[in-house]
Amino acid sequence: MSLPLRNESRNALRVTMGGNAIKFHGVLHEMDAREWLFPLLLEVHQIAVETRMPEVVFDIRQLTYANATLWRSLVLWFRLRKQSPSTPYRVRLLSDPVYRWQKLGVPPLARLGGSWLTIR
Amino acid sequence: MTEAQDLHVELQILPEWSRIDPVRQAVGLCVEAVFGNEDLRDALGMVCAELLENAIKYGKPAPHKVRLVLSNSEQPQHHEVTLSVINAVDEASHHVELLQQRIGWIQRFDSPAEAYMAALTLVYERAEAQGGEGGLGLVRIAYEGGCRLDCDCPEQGVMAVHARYTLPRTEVSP
Repeated sequence: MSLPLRNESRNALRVTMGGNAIKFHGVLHEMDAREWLFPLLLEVHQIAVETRMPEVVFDIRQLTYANATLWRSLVLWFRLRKQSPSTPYRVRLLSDPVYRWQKLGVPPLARLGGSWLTIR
Repeated sequence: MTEAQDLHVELQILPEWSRIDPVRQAVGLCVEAVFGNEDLRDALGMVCAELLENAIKYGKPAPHKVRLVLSNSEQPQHHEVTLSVINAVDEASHHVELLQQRIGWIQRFDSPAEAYMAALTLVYERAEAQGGEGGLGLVRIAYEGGCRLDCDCPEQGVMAVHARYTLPRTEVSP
């Protein structure tokens, strides 16, 4: 019932995964982010569904900046979760409002999510 | 120098992705140095990065360069900080028209926040972002960045996108 351990670096970004959490550190601004970020979330989704994981934690508190690809990928992930025929997991999004982009960017996500989305 | 806060920065960079983040940080630091406002630092840093991403994705590649101009005009009640990104485009490209359409779409809403929510909802409901990734970046500039957008063609084969931020004098540290 856990995500595979992973610790990947991509330029100024580090992504770690394990337990029920996926964490981002640094800066996400790569040109090809769209090509790997959503597939990564798709993998998380599939594992969470297959292993009946009750909750997935998405932690961006150490992410100092991200381009629009992050928001787009998160919304596509939420869409995928909504469309899942099996009992889906909850999502807990950990953010830090000290970063303006998170302070303003996270609340609109809450409007898209339902009771399954917790934002801290 | 007659103005209390004066800002004029011009940069010319190669249209390479690796140049974006250093420029984002530099623009943010310049803004913070002049106005002492961290919120504006983060806002214009993001705006700069999103505009450069579009210029590099849709503009002509090297050796053509991308020019960035950051300036301030002082008004009685506020400062208007303008960030312009100017780049070469293929003359057959429809990017300028698409950009103008996207800016017009944003302006149809009562507020940038509503436009942003509508753009996210489109992705959520139809798995699409009007105008592609750049479309979400532009509406982000309006909402998160608090900027008004416009664009023009200063000469044939060249396009300029301008993001304007109104900063009340009360939000400037002397």
